[in-house]
Amino acid sequence: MAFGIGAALLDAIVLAVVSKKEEGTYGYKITQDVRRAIDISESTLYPVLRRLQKNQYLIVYDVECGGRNRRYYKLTKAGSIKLREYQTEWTDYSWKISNLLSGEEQE
Amino acid sequence: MNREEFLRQLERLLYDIPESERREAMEYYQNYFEDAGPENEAQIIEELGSPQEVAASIKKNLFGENYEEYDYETQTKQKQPYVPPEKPSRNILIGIIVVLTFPLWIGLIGGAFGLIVGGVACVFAFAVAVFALVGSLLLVGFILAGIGFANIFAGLPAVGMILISVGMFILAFAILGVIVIGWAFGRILPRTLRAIVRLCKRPFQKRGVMI
Repeated sequence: MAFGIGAALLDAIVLAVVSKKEEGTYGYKITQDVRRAIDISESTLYPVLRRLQKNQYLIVYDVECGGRNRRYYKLTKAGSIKLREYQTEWTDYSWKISNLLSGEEQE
Repeated sequence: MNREEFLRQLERLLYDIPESERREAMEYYQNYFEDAGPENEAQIIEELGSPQEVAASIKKNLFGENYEEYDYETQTKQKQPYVPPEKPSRNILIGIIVVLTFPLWIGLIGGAFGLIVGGVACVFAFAVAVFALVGSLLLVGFILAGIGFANIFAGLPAVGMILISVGMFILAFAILGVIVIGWAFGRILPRTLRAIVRLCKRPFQKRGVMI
């Protein structure tokens, strides 16, 4: 892909992916879901998850799974608010860019 | 590199970050491998790149305020140093080709074997024929000469002389044949054998040099 993905967009994507699962989801699954849409390296996601966790947009909890603990990620209240903010901003932003790129006159 | 080695290297590379951060990151990647399953292990390692890359991405997030924009170019650049091991797959491919072309090369090997056996038999038959010829020439020469002597004493000197000379003539050829055979066994045979031995040794010597 020719277009770079900034930190904010990556945060928004990860928040959106995690929000799709009510009961939370885990690192490997999140990576697979994100990679289905955009081509990023597997090592990119951990720092994003860690950062979102530190900013208290995500909360982690361990679930026993097959004799070991699996770390789940879930949106916090602040995370849901942040995601909605991103969604609004993205809709506005992408609409403007699409209009510019399509070359059609507005108004 | 396998999973254990990858994680061990990653842990070593994260020595300079806070203990809690290190434990968190290690747990994440351990989990990651476990969730991916052992069947995806090699693929995951390939896609993660090197432990150095993973460590760098963790540190950049910890120490840099805003980590740089992640664009396609850096991603491709990061992925380049990793050279996927292609030797096993190539060996497997060769194996498959060898098995698939079985009818072809079994015929070729059979043909080559037949050719060698036929050649050896030919040379052997020729040698036997030469022996038989020389042997019979010797025998005939002696017998004729013998009969010639007998005729001289029996009162037929002219016939005896002719028979003796014919016998001697044949014996001359026989002796020539004996000399040729002696020469062949003394000189040609050892030389040929040595040449064959050298020819057989050559492929092994070459391989030895390559290793």
